Amino acid sequence: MQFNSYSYLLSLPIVVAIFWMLPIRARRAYVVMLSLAFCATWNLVLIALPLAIALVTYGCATLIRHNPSRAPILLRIGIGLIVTVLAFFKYRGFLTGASWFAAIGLPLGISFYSFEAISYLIDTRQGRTPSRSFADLWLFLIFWPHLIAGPIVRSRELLPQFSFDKRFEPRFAIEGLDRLLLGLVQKNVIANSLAPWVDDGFVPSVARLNTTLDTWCLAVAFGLQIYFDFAAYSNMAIGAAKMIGIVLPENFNSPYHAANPADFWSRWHMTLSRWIRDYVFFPLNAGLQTRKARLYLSLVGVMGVVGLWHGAGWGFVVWGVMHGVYLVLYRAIAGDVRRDEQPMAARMAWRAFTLAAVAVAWVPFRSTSLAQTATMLARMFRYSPGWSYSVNFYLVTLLVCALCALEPLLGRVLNHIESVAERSFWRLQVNLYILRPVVYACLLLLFIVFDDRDMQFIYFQF
Amino acid sequence: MTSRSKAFAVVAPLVACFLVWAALAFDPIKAVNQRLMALGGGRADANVDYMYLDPSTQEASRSDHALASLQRIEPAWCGAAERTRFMLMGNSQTLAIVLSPTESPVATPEKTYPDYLLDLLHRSGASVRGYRLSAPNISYTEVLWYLTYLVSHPCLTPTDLILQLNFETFRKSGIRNAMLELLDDPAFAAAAGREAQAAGTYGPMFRQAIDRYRERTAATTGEQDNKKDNENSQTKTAGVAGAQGPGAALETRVRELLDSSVAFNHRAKIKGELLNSLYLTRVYFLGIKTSTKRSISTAMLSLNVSALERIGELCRAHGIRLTVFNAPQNPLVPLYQTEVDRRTYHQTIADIARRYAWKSYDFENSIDKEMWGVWLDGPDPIHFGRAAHQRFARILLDAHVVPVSH
Repeated sequence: MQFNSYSYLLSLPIVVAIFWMLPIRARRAYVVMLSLAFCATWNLVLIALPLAIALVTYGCATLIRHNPSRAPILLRIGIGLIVTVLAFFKYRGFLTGASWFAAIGLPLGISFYSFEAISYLIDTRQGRTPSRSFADLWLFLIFWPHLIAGPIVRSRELLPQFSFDKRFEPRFAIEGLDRLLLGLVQKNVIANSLAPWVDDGFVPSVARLNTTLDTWCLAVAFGLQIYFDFAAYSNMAIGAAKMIGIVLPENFNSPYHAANPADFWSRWHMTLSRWIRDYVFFPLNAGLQTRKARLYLSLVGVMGVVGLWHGAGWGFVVWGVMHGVYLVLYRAIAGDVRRDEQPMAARMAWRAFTLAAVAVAWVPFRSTSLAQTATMLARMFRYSPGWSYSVNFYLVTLLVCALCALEPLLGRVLNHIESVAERSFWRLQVNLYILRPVVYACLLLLFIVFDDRDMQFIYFQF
Repeated sequence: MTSRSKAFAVVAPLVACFLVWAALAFDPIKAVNQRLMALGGGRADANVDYMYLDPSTQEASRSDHALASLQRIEPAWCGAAERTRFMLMGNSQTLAIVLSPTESPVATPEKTYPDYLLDLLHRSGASVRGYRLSAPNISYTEVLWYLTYLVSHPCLTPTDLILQLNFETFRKSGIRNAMLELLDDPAFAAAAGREAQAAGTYGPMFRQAIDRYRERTAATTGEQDNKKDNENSQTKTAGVAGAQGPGAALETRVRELLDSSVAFNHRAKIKGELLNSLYLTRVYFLGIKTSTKRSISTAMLSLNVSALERIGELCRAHGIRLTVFNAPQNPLVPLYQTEVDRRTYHQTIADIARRYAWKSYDFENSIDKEMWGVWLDGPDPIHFGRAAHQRFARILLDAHVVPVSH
């Protein structure tokens, strides 16, 4: 059941209403049941695999708690088991090339809940897990809004909220609906509109014939498509959780407004970035601040792992390594100078560099082979005149770029409207009962008329 | 936030749903478009809505339900006694009418030149059966897609294929989602699968279309998509990832229920109106019209030539006589950006026709400038009026584009 399916959207208000009508003590069991039902609508494997990972994680965590002296080795065993399962499903073809392996398939969401299970183990080792209950751990992994494609949550963020003891507040419904509808439009209208052009343009036999303008536009269009696609999913996940009073962490913060490559990673897939930072990068580099060469090497290596997390393809690795190189470049050139202390020209240059560099890096991410990547990158930097596609492609890409550019401003305008509305009773009523329903209706109408059942979320494959 | 605003949780979604229903039922975007048209001084009624429909001689759904259309004619074509059985394929010029300034709308359904041509042929006593298998903005990869279906069904394999060539069509690519349903037919699915393995530039387009179809099937039926081998997908993670499980069946049922509502069924029309608004905005505010001059890129040229060459090979292999004609263009608004574009286009079609020994005609300047349609944004470069359709049918007949015996 996809978040942008009618069956999900029609059942969501009902399940949310029932949730708030239930006594507090029954709510957790209800959410477990809902999450299981959600899994079952996809595939029974979706229940079995998180259960197996939860059992392994729980077993290791319990042993870690009871044997502090053996905690390091137990932690390694636990992480090793989870990574083995992840690697089996995700990297089998990459590692072995065996076709029978490849036929098994990738269980939905495995990359996300595996990382959550690992974070649970590490947090347990560090004594920062707020609950020791197996039921909590299992729900932490299969909680339906974040199961398939994140956000990647930490146990200490989610487990304390599993008491479900909040009283209903209208803001849960308002904020939940806002995010849900925004996500629906981001996915169905924006991301899906770019998809056919990107799909055609990246077909290898066509890609090698594209002009310089085509290739840049395709890279930008794919960057916009994947952003709006993934941000849509995150918004819908955050919105659905919010409706039952659960706060999930944000995943995006206008990434294409990043001031530099480091800033980009504090705005793009934020929950993965901080997971990598806290559980991989910091432990690897503890006390190495002065040894720059090793720091830079680990930066590139870690970003390569981020790329590999996306899937078994060299293109993902190249994408990650490219971002690693960008980060190293920024760190080496800008040093420890704070952004607001940099000259205006330098700040502008970093901003432009980041936008262009991120667009260039999308090419290996989307290409089907390294050969295609090389061809397309060559085309980007060796001028070839003309343009190949319908003018609508370039216009739509430009329009979505403009939308992206205005994103923070739109956010500020909406916040201003909200704060003005809060100032008087009547303004609030107008906002709640006239303005919002009209905006909701427009968003819903856009979702319905642009609905295309064939279009899946891109991040489902990761 | 006061406690009274708790009612919001119920009221706002209900009001929003009511407004959506009202928008679906009453189509306010159409009114906006009419205002926009009036703003530009365009003539909205020039684009004829009331078209002659005959499922036995036309793929009347304009590619939306091509499988049903072809299945419908197959029994009749199986028993057909006519010596000449032709299929005419082309873009919207073959199926749409944009009235010229001197023409007015009429209350009877309007025919296009393939209809008139068939009438003329029948009137002359020719032993002929014809069918228009066209689609708006058709690409040559789509023509090949259709042809692959025809040759995988012996009854539908024509004796003659009349193919309209058009400068604009050389700029199109891909296979639209609506045409994927042809893959429901096992014979075609097998044939398309073979074409997808071809080394030609069109091959990956077929592969991509087949993968889209498999994803759609998995989403609709809940069957696992374990055959995916998409050249255009880096991860190649088939199996569970593509499965949609029981949720897919539930979603299908919900959609069927929603589709039974008249208002909900208006959504495609409203999408059309919305896209039309965007088109009008583009025309009026950016000045980019259908008649804006353009070039064919190397990528599109290579893709389309590869598809055309395969069309030629398939016709040869199945004994189909292939006739191509360069479609009429409005002399007032030639689409070629430069003289080089014009030469390249003419040279390309001449080269292919010569290489494959196709019968070819050039009708580019066959329709006088005053007979062409004038719509919202001025002279239409592709579509012409009622009289021009009649005249062009006569031109095709006189040129013996369809070889007939009496």
